[in-house]
Amino acid sequence: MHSVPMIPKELVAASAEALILSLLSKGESYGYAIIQEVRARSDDHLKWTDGMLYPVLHRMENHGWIKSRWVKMENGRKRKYYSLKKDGKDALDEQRAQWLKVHGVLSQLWGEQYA
Amino acid sequence: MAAGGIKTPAVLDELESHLLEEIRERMAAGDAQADAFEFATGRIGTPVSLRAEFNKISGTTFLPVVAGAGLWAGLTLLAAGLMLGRVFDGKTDMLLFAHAVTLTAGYLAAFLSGGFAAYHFGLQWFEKLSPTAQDALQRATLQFSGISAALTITGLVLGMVWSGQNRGVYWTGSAREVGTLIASIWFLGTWAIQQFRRKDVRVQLLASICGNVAGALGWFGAGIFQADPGLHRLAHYWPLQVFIGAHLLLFAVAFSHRFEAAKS
Repeated sequence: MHSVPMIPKELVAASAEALILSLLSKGESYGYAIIQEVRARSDDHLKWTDGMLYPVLHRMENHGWIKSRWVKMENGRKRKYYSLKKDGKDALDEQRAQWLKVHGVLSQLWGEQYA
Repeated sequence: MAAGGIKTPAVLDELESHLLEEIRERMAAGDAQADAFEFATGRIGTPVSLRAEFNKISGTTFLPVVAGAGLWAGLTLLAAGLMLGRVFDGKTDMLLFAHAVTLTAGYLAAFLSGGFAAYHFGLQWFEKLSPTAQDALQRATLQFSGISAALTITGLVLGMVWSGQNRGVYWTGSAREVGTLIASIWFLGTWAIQQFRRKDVRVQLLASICGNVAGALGWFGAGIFQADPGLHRLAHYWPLQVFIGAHLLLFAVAFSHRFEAAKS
């Protein structure tokens, strides 16, 4: 079975916003859950340094794409939930179009190469 | 993380929450607590690299803070310029000038600190408080709180020295002197509360808003008790009452459920 080589950190970083926006478009979530879901969906190929997620989330909040709220848990601890705002939906649509375009061109080239 | 230079309480809370979730997961999977802790801290990244990433965001200039600081500097310079004229006219001396300018700057700094706190609550009410704005406004609130305490106390001392040299007594107990003393102590107390309750953002902000009320009463409220209040005659007019009333209303609103998150 063909194994996927390690994905370079530049590609991981470049895809972070698109991944986060896509996950939050499915509903409100929090940092730890976001990381777990990305890991599960990528079979652990997309390796994030966990803490690096939070500056990205804060940057996206600065842009006005997402908003946050603190929720007090049953054990008394707090957890910060993030959700998508209207500008975030627009940013997601834009990024989706960009990634699909790149994917389309690459698929075409590789289809020609391996046909 | 805090020792690594990440100081923002909200960020520390979030990272701590993440660490605890990871530790809980690892322990549920069978790891010993120490191993789970080591795994979680290794995965979250080094404080240095995290701080560098967060600094890229918090280093961004927040215009309202810059504008507020500029306004403070401008008003202080304007006051100094106007009072300097009286020095050149021989109507006052440099010591009294220094007393008046430092007090003016101190009171203005207190009002600015309270203004930043009120703006923070306003942004939060309309759900427009970004992490950059939150960080910038919190820092500015604390910094100008400290500046107000330092300047008003300095101004008070300069005034006492002038009084000693020109009136023969350092303290006459006039309404203005008492008002300034109370305001200075209040600003110092506000700054101390903000230093000791660094994790409680709401307490920090509310302390500065209270500082506005103390400053208004100390600066202009003294005029209520004086026959010839001079510039302090504003106490006799509705602006002071409206100013204080608005701040008390803001104080009450800040306790509403919408500001629960401000605790972090």
